[in-house]
Amino acid sequence: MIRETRGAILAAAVLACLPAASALAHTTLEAKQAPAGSTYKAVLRVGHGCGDSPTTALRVQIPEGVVAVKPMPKPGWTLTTKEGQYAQAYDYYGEKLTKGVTEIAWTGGSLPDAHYDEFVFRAKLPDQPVGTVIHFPVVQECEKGVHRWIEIPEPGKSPDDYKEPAPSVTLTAKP
Amino acid sequence: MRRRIVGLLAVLLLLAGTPVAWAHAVLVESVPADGARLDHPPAEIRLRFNEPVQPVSVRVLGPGGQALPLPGPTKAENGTVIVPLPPELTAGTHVVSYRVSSGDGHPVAGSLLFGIGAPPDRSAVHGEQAREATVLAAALGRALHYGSLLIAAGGGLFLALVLGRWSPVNGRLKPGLCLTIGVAAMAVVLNVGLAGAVLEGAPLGALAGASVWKTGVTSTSGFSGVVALLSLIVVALGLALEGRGRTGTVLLVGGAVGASLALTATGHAATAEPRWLSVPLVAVHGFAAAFWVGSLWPLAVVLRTETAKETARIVRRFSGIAIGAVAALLLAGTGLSVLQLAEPRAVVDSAYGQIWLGKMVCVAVLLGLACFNRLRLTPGLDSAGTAGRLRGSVFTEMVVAGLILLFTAAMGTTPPPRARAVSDVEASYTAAIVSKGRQAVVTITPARSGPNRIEVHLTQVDGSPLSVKEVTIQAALPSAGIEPLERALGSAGPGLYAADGVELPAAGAWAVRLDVLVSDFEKALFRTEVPVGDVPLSLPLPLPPGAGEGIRWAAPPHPRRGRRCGRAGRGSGRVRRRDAGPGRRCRLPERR
Repeated sequence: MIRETRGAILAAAVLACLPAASALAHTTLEAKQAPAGSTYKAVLRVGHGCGDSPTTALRVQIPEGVVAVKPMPKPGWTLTTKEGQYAQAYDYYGEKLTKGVTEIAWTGGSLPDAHYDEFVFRAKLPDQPVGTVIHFPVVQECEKGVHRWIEIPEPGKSPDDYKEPAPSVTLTAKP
Repeated sequence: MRRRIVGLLAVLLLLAGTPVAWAHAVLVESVPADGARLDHPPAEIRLRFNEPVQPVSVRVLGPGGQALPLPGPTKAENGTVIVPLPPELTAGTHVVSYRVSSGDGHPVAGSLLFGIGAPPDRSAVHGEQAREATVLAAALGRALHYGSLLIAAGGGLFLALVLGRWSPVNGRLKPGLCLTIGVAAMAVVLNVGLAGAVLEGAPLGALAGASVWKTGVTSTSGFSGVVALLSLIVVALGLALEGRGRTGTVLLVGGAVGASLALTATGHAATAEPRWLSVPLVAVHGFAAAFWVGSLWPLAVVLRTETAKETARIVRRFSGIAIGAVAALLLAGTGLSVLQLAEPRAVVDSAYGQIWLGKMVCVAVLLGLACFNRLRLTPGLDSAGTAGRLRGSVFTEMVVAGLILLFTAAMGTTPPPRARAVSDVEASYTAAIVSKGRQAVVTITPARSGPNRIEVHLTQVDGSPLSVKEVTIQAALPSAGIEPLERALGSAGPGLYAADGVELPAAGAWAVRLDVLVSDFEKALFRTEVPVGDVPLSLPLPLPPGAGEGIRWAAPPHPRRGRRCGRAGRGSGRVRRRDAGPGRRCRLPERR
């Protein structure tokens, strides 16, 4: 009897823990889907610090193909961008873009672990086939520690299989 | 007195009794690893040695055993030999046999197997038996070479140092010595050919062709053979001029010194580090052995033909010199043994040690006989009958000495424990994983439950070391419900990351994942499966999604000791036996 009870408790505990592991607040994008080639408002949602330590910087890498990036300034944070050459030229309303923002950084702020915040930028998504997943690797720096949301799932795996998956958006059909 | 000094000096230049050289270059790793099962044909083969090498010849045999044409020349970059492979290799077992020469001119030969689409089939390798026969013949040829060389050189020493000029025995000994010199010369030549055959891993029939002779001559055995032949010529000249004063004596002693030096030009014994010690030890060992072994037959002749008084004079004279020679022989032999065996345990747990033990037993018998002869029989030589007994004892010594030569030759064809100590014989498991062109070679030592050392060697697409920001390893054993254990690896050199004492608490096929933080925003993942304990790997491995686009291979499961052929393992008979199971038997870098 005791043994059975213990088994049941164990099983319940295991079951209870399973979904929790993947659902804990990652740093993610608010809109998980967007039309290919559209201008996308990326909202990075930061749900926690590094343990108890407050977040002091958030850096985002812009993947190749995502162009015309404009980050939104944030009070209390210093906004910087890095520019670089694209691997190829991209058409932007008739204009050929060969270089642009490759990295955005909001630094110098302090977001306690107990608070939630959002970091926003605008970008034009690539005109690629429906279902293409665009990953935005993010490094979240804290007073103590760092989270690297940079894991890109291997084929056949989902972001849930990883501890720190990169925020991503999946392309849908053009409207 | 003066002669004695000459003799001692000569002894100092002597030689060692265990000639086969363990060439200096050692294969550290190969990609693909020996015994690897590949899902896709590799574009090239990389052989990494511990020192710069030059490729001499590389052959790739396909599944049918036929040699495949290589699309381009074999390249060498420092210690790495890159063998381009023809495109579209067919599925099945492939054998790569290579011969390279290392910086000091020592050739190293070996071969490795890999299978495409299936684990390589060791039994598919043809000619393995022929090679065993070659090794055996080489050992016998070497024993003949040692024996005849020592008898010829030592016979000359006996004439020069023991008998002195004008002795009537000289005339009786000369025909026999001339014959021995002839035999020794032929044995030298034969030994060079056999050494070449062993190097090439060729069957005995290859002695009829030019290739193995070329290989033999260009190897250190060839150089040693040339020195030995020159020495034999000097001894022969010494014999001819022996009746004419000092010149003959000098030539005889010089020839023996030369023969001793010939033994230092090749062989395990003379290549042991530190060489400034091993080479003189080998020279002294050989010179003293020549004096002793070479004196046995002349002594027997003296005991049979000379008058009691003359016999007693010669035997006592021999005995006086032999004391010094035996002391030098034993001292040098002890020093060489220490260098070769590296550790006392090796006496019992390596083939080399066991052969050494056999030799030591014979040496003990020989010493016992020698003491008996010196202490009991020699003093009584003036009385009748003693000469006959001493002669019988000398014949016994000759038989025992023959056994010692056989053991010595066998030691020459067996890699000594020190070579094992250099290569990492510790059991370990290695897997090479390729992801996006980058390669991670993961080595887990000893790959048994308990604390393990984990080493990761990262290389870029172009093969250069890949230095990264962080490497963490996660090991899980799902079958035993063990969730991933995570451990950060410390940097241990360019592209090299390691951690000690990583606990793998249970035996099983561990799923290992490497998280490599290549840059701020890029993480590369490498996954593989590592058998811990004597667990068979679940071959064929499923191609893990993403982790291994391109090639992926894993070495076969390794029972306990040894692994990574090429680098390890082959040194001891124990390893050989243990590894005798299917899929395990690697050819090591060749011994010579």
